[in-house]
Amino acid sequence: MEAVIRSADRVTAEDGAEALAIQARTDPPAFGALYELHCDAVFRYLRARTSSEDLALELSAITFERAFKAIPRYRTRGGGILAWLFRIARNAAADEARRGRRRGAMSGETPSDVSSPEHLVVRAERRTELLQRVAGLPEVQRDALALRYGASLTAREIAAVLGKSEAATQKLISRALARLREDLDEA
Amino acid sequence: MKPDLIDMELEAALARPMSADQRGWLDRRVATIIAQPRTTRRVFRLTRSTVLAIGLSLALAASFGVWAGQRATEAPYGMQSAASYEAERSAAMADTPLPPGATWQAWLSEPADASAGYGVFAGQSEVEYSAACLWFAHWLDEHEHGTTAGRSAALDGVLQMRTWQTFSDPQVNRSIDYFEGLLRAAERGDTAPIRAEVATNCTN
Repeated sequence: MEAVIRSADRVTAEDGAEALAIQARTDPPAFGALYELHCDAVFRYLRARTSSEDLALELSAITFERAFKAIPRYRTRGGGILAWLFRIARNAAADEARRGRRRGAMSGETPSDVSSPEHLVVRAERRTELLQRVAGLPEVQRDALALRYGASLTAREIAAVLGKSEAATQKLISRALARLREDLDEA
Repeated sequence: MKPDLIDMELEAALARPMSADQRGWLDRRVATIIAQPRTTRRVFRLTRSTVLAIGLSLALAASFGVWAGQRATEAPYGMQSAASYEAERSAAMADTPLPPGATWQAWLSEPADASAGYGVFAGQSEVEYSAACLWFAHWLDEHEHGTTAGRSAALDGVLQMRTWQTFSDPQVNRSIDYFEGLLRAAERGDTAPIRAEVATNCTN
C-alpha cells in the first residue's frame, strides 16, 4: 500500500483523478491510488446506506473488487470516475438489499461515543434517532442524503450518480431534509 | 430540531471517517485484490500446440485443486466466474445441514448474473447465511413451543455454525464476534438477540 499512498499524494484535482482512472485501466498501482482517493467516501456512503459498519466495510471491499475488474472497460463520460465508482457502490448496496441478507443495521451496534459523560450519551441517542429517521426515508432520498452527507458529494456529482439533473437532485435533497425536520419535530 | 442543526447532525452522523482498524482491514483486502493478476481478453490462435498446452494446464489445475481445496481460506478474495460461483453455491447447499422440514430459499438456485463479479467464497457464504437464518428461526420455534429434546436438538443445530467457514474464519467475515454473541445467547436460552437477528436480517 505504500506505493499506492505515494501515488495518491500526487493527485490533487478532479482532472488528475480522471487521468488516474485512465491510467488505472492498465496499471494496478494507479487503481490503488484511486482507491486511496475515494475509499473513505465510498465507505461513508455505504455506511449511510446500510447503517452498519461491518456491512459497509464488506460492501466497500466488494465495490473496489468490482471496480478493479471493470476498470479496463472504463470510459470517461457523465460524472467521470467519481460517478462511475459510486454507481458501482450503489449497485453493490442494492444487490445486498435484494438478497435480503444482513439487511438493516447490525443488531447491537452502537455509536462509538456512547460512553459517559452524559452529554455524549444524549448526543449518541439523538444521532441514533436521526439515523433511524433517515433509514425510514424513501430509497432515493436516503441515497441522496448518503451521497451528500456520507460521501460529501456536491449536488452535481450526486446528480451524475443518480442519473438525474442537478436541479432535480437539489429538490430531492431538500424534500428529504424537509421530511426529516417534519419527522423530528413530531417526535 | 432546527433546520441548520439537522444539516450539522447529518454531517456528524454520516461523515465520520473509517477507524484505523477498519481502514487497515480494507487496505489489506484491496491490496490482495490489486495484487492478483488481472484477466484480460486476448485473442489466441488455436494452434494444435495451444490446445495441448491448455489441456495440460487444465489437468495440472485439476490435480492441484484437490489439494488447494483444503487450503482455500488462505486466499479467499479472488474473483470467480458466474459458473464457478453457481458451482460453489450448489456444493455448499449439498454440504450445509438444514433444520427439519426447512428448504433452501428459491433464489439460491437461480442462475447467477454472468455480467456480475463474484468473489471466491461468496456462494458458500450466502448459503451459510441463509442456513443460519433457518436455524435461528427453528431454535426460536423450538424454544417457545418444542419439547426438551427438540430444544436440545435445535441448540445443537445452531451451535454447529461455529464449524462453518462463514462464522469461523475472520478473513471472510468480520462479524464473527457478533455471531458468537448470538450463539452464546442461544446457549443461555436468551431469545431476544436471536429474535432481533431474525427480524432484522432474515426476512425477505
